[in-house]
Amino acid sequence: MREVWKRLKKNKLALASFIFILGVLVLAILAPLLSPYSYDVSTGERLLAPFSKGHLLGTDFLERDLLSRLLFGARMSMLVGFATAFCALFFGTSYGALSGYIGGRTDNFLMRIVDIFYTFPSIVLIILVTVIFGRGMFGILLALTLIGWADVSRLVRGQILQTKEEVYVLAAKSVGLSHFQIVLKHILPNIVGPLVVTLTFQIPTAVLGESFLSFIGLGLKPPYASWGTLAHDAWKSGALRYVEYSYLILVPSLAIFSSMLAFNLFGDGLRDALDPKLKRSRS
Amino acid sequence: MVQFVIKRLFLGIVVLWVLITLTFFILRFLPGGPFDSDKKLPPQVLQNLQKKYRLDLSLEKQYFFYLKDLVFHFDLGPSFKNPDRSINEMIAVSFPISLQLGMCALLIAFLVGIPLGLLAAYHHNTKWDHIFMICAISGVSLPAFLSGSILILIFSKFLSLLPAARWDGLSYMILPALTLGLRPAAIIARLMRGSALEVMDSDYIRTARAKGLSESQVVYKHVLKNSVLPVLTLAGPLSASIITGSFIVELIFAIPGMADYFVDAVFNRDYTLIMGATIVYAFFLISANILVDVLYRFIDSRMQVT
Repeated sequence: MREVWKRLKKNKLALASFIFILGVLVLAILAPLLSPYSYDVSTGERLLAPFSKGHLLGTDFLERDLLSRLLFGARMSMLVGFATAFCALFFGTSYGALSGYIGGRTDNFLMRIVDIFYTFPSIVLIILVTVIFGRGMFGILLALTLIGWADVSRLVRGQILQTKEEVYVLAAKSVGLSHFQIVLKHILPNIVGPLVVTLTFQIPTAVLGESFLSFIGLGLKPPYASWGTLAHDAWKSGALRYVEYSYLILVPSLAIFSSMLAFNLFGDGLRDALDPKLKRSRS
Repeated sequence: MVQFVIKRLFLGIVVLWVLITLTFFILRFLPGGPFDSDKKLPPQVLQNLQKKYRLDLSLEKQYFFYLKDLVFHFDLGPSFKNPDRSINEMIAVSFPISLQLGMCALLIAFLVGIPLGLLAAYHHNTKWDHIFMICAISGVSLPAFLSGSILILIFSKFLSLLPAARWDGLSYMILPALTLGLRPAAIIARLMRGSALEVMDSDYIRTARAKGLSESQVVYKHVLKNSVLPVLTLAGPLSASIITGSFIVELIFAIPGMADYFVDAVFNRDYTLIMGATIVYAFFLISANILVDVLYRFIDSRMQVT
């Protein structure tokens, strides 16, 4: 672990990204304390340009302070990102571990189901889920988890197949540990590296997925605001038609972009740090 | 080879069938029928309408007839919200537009992504390599509504060069296709770089150099030819990513394509249209994946079928 951290520290870009992500998270958590106004109450001043007095990022069509909305948006976007990534990780790991550990025909059958999920067009799946469960947090989480878990389960299954014949697993078996204990305490800790890397790539994918849904109008319902709904509101009010109002769409989009970039750079750095041999062939 | 094609086709058909069946039954159980609008309809009209949509039959029969029409006549039935129009008509109007847009985007993606990846690999570990790769990773992180907005602001608001909306010819296609192609281009560039690096490390490239071939011959005849193959397999997953992107691009640029219809259908709860669009998308994506897989096996006979 210390070895990994040392290698990661040398990668300035990844380290900067990590600090940036931490910063966004702190802002998101402290949003109620930091934001100067409420995120869904009008301030009485319509469409102030950024850097106006009292409103650092200006106000929107409904007279709401953009900075406050951005901070609260970070809360929702990050919440969706982390929650989905953890759900996908949990289900994917359980499923993959089960499949790989049992092996044989069960494994074959379970993996065919994963194949079906792979072939399923994910965009259609997301939209169907939101049609069924309506707009809102639950539908979004479910839809995004359904897309993410198949990847994780394939990864975990592969790793389990590799490790389950190792000597230490056989040793654990001969001591009389239950299957559950063996998987949880002896196999999973050894594949924690690739799992963490997957997690860092699942989070941005989920954040981007949420912003996609919100932008086409199938995301969170007002008054909840995420970065995606901010961009959607701005676009819908016609912010792109007038250059002077384009900040309303550019500010939240840039927030999404910079966080995505940070997560991806950090994920790349982490992968290289965990497995320096791979560095050359992958980008 | 034949066995592989049959296996892939079979899996594709199974997935398609599962999707059709699931969507059919789920949508039937959702609240809200086609005609519970504000005004009450006379019983006679209601009866005729129900007959038209076969809602007077039992669920199994409805399912059976739907499948029959679909398989034998490619008929997706009438729209729930616009009883005068069939789903087939709507898709015939909108699908070609989306296909055009998607193809342009895919073309841009390959034309930009492959040279960039190759250049980055060729200048491995230099300043250029790092700059290219930071561009590529930015491209992957870019939400389509940001790139679309920036392109609109620059080319249609500040420079007034290109139109920002609608779909009326070549000049209307440039900005949407660019917006849509940017992310796939970045994905291709990253993969191309990795693939080219691997090839450049191999013995036959060393042999080619040792034979005294010029640099450009080595790069074009050997590196490009051998490293582009794994990148081509991306065309399947990329078409999925392009379809996803097309939802946003068609919204921003007001293009009357499939995605536009689909989103409208979701808001109107036009279940038959949702169903039809789902099937068309799924069919398209699944076929694209199978086609790419089969072509890849066909071209690269070194790979063994597993």
